[in-house]
Amino acid sequence: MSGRKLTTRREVLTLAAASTAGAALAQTTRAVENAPAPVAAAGEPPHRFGMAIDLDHCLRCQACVVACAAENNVPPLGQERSALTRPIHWMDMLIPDEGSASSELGQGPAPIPCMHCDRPECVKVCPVGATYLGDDGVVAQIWDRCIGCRYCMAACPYSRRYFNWSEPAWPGDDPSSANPDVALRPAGVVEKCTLCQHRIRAVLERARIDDEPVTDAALQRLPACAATCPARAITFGDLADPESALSKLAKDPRAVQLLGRLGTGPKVFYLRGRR
Amino acid sequence: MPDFARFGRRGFLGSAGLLAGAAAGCRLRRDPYAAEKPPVPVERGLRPGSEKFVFTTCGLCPAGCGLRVRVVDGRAVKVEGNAESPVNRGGVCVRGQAGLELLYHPDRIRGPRRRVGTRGQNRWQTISWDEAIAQLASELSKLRVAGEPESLVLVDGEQTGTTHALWSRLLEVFGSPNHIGHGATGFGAMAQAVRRMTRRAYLPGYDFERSRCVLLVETGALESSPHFIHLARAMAGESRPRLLCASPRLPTTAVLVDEWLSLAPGGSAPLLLGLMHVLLREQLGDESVFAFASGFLPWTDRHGTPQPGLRAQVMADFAPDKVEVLAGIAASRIEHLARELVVARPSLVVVDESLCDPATASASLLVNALLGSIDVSGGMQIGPATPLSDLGKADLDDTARVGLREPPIDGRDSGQGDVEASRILSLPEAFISGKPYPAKALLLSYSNPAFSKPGGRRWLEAMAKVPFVVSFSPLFDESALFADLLVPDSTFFERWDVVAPGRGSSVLSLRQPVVRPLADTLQTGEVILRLARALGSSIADAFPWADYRQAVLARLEEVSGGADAVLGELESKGVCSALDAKRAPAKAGDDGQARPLLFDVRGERSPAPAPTAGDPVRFPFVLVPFRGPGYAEGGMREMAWLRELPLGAGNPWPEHIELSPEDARRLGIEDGETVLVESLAAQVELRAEVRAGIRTGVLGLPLGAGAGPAPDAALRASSLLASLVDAASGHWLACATRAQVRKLS
Repeated sequence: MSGRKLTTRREVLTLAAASTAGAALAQTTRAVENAPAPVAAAGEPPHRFGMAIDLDHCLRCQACVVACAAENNVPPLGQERSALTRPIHWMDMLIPDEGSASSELGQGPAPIPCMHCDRPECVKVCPVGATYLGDDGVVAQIWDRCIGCRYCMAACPYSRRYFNWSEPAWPGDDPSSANPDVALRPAGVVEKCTLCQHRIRAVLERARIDDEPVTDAALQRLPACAATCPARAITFGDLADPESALSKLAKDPRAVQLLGRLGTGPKVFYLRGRR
Repeated sequence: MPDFARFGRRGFLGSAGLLAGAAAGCRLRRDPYAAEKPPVPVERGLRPGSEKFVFTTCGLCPAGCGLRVRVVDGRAVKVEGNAESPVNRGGVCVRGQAGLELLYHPDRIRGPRRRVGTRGQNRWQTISWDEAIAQLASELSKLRVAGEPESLVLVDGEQTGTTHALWSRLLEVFGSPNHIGHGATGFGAMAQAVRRMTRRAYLPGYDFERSRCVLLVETGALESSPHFIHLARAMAGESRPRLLCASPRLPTTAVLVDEWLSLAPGGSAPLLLGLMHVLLREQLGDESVFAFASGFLPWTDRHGTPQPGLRAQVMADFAPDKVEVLAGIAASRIEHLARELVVARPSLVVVDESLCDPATASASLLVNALLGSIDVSGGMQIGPATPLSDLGKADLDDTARVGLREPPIDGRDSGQGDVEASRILSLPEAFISGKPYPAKALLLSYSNPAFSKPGGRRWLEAMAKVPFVVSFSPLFDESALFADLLVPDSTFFERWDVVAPGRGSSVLSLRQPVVRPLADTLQTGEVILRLARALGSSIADAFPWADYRQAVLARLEEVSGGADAVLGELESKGVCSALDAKRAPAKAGDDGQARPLLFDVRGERSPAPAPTAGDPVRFPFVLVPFRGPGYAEGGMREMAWLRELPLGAGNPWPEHIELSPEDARRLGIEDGETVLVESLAAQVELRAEVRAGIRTGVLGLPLGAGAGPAPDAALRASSLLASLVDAASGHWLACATRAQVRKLS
């Protein structure tokens, strides 16, 4: 077990440290072709945004789950549809089977967003280029390119993608609480966590206008899940910045990537094993 | 659709993204040839959008977390935490995040309504606020004219705050001793224990952050309680306390608990007194805290009978080997636990205020006192007093004086209008029997007893005996459907107030409207003032404030720095916590003078098993009600995000019951199967959720779930709970209903 973990970490370090260009990018050529406009301005070093979730701090209160839904316009299912399908939770709780050895996190339920893999399986299988690995490290999805074939859902080893079975709808048909920064998804497309890309872009844009570098402090609690966490268990940041809090957490001996052995290179790190 | 593609990528550009997204949604949803309409009506043409963040204070539980609400073009779109608030430091729990569902809830009552048709038929006539207040005033005036002001009963779900204070004042000058709180089914046991033992009138807070070891008795703080946010803050730190949990059930969310002690239902008080026994026997605790407390050593009661006193009683009846049977925890473990708590000082014992019985509440104070953990860093914080001053005494007229001489209708003995001692569970019997006198008017503020109280159905029978029922609920709920007049309160996102969260701090937190009221609602504080004016004479004189804001400001007069300075800070930061420094919580006593901690520890501590409702042979299980992470009382149960939490049950909407794997195997019950659960009170079909972390012989019963208001309230899981009360205090014994489970044939 420990050997496997070591390999995983080393993989990540290789990726993070030396050349984000080299091997990693070679594997994601297709993904980059899919990507629309580059987020980083020319000459600006590329970002690799990711997240760390400290399971020794997380109280499993699920505030992140609801914060994500509220921020990203994911309406609840409601009573009727709950009987038919699973609710959409971009940020979900991973519930390990009781007593099974399959839980590498080993601490009961854990919050699970999209892993934003460096080598995302979902991107490889998308026949229409609706999903791509951006040069900011976010595995993003262009809703209206998606044809709803759901190959990506089958390919994702983390089940982090949801098929949207219904039109955007709010209780009582009152969408007043909708966040104008996030587009609504029509029925028939696959949707997923975007690492609150709209918030990332707002920060990058602000920094560009002010001609200031993006500070780690401005990033740490940026996504809705990290912002709300009352136990400060979620840390967001740029893995390309070796001084960021996230980069340090990713090198922590407690850090582990979920199913890291698959070689998907998740950019979400779990910290666990205080005792 | 190229436009949509562009906006999809640049969603951050503003409401344009929403427009385009919605257009796509509408296109799929409706007639493909219909004009595309944005989901939120906006003016035509280009115009700058407006975005602002408004400070306010959460109102979904009494914790008082500071919020920053993002408001775009007059719509509240997202709740964030206010990092300045010492309560939550920028974090927001799951309920707070779902708060906007309450603001925009489709079932909100959109203005005052008068009943037409029979009660419960749900047919209403829209009236104006003037008409509503006039009707309220004329119905209440009749009681005073008839010389029976005591027949007015108010059930008030708030425990503190200016609205609560205004209600108290209104009832007092009106002449009714019947200001009834929800304490007897919740925080009342703790409030009374604190008041009796320490002569202070505040609910305790817990300094989890600086504590090194916390024993949670029952799981309240881990799930839904005002203490959750404080515990979460402690978890954010580098050195978190060791967490021990003694409870009949361990929630799926309780992953950070270091050790679970499977406690027998009803074993909380014996366990705590067992710990006390070990602390006394091994001289591990600080016995000098009892130096000034009557009832610790042998004493004589008012009939002249000698009493052994607390010390002798604990030493005789609560030795760990005797407690073992009641608590279901091995004697050696109890001894070890006591030593653990001593070694790890500052350590804490925290009980579940919302569901514990009086014996448990007072025992938790005793153990904390003996551990030296009261009013110290890392301990239990009682006081300081809230920075909001009292409203002061009002002049009473003769009618009021006569009315206040009547005994309270709920049978509490104080007769001093002491809200936290009120016995809400005796109201149905009093209404139905008409004793000690008939209730003629019932006001329900922040209260839906027909749903939230044990014996809910009996509440509907009882309300049928009251000629005039008024609900202030912002949502249609079981009790509101049965009312004659609806005067809907605004939600907390539409109100102005200054909140004092208390709980060991003297923080003040601003609550202000984040959006214009969405419906023709009025905050209850304003209704009270307008009602008082309409009632005229001495009642109007007792409310000299022009509006609710003036009443709140009057309570800020005595705050150090003055009301203006405090208000200025509140408006710029949302909270005012500098008060902490000026009025630091001194050890034992707010005034900084040394003062004994405990005054009175008299009382019966019975070593007999706690009483239960139902024959143990016919009903082998004990129901353990709990408030889950998305606990949703009353209207909150309709906040769908909370219902659909991933760590809830499979399909979150039908109600369920938790069962241990051992019991399930014995009875041949599969996870997810529908079973028949029966108690003395009711028979209900529920889905069984089989999972580890439930003690055998226990059924975990989530409270606050179930469908929305329905005519047949008997089918709810909570109707299984018997309304069994502690005779001395009238407090509900929550974990005392026996039940049986059967497979459906």
